[in-house]
Amino acid sequence: MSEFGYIPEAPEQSFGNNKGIFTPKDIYDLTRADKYTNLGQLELIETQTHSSDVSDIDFTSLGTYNVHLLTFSSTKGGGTNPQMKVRFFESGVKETANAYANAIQFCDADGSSFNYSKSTADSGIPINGNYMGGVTQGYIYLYNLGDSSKYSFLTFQSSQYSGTYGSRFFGFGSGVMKQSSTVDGINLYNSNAGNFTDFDISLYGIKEY
Amino acid sequence: MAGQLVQVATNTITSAVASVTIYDENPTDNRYIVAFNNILCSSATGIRYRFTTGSGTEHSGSNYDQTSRRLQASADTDHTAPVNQNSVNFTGVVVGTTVQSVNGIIEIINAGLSDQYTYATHKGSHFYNGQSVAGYQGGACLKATQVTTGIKFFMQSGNLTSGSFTLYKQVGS
Repeated sequence: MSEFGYIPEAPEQSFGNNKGIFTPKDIYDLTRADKYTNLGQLELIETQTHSSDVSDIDFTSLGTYNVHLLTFSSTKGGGTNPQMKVRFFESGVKETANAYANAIQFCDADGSSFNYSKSTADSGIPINGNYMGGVTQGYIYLYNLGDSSKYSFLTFQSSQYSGTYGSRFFGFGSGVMKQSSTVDGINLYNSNAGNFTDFDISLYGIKEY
Repeated sequence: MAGQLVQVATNTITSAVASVTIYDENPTDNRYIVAFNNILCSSATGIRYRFTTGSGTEHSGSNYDQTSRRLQASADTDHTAPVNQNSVNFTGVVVGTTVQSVNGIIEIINAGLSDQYTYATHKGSHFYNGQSVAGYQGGACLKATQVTTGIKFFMQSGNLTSGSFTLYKQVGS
């Protein structure tokens, strides 16, 4: 008997089109080949949580996805006016030049401010206001990271509580690294020279078939 | 191994097309997510969407309202809120140069409720008219009741020339 219980030839297998009787080894092998119907296309890549204060949080195993989702909660920065920003690694090298552009709307829950932030040449993409001394949470979608012929884009939404200022902020926006390259890592950093004093951050790949 | 986010349809453009429709052949859920990336086009206009019902039949009546904030790295922000449109422009003007692709997420809400309007939120990241990175961040509503099964994308004029649209359902929602 050939594979999957078929005689004499096993049928071609693909996602959404599996036929036959599968052994645990068949399922393992087909899953690794992306040919087994495992429903559930939000795939956890890595979670990082705070164990000691750090200045940078890096995700350097991205897998192969057109779209990634990064969620962050209970994230807090030290230093003066801490702000979380995103940068990318290109072939293992962190891009720190002013290669990034962004456009962001920040809102203050008490209505005292409705700030618009934009830049065509920045050293990173801001994800929240520079009051991360409270706690911040939100999510970021990232696009085309592994495509060497495309710019890498992101969209995000975040909310935060400023312990210093006693306010709640909400932000949303878009950003890009304006150069075509293979992005193989994501760097989160505290732009104002402080550390992250708390964080719970997960990176997911959104699978396509 | 059932997950909470399940792919139900995808379309990768390999040659220029006037539109792309993706829909759920077994619509049982109320919330969907559409991920799109690397979208390029043949003319400097906006990309629009309409909701579908049944086997991909578009709703093309003038029943769409939307409100969006347009953010752009080299310009002041502005606001667009057209009502009674026959579709939703969720990008503003995009230009199809190779690297300045259109990327984003649309969430569809109340899709499976036949007695409710269908709502959506959209967020994007692309280059506005070839100038600088920009995004429409906002929401839309189809002011007609139907079971929404999917979504159709098309250019205001011209074709979609490359990119990928994928529809996921949020199982259990």
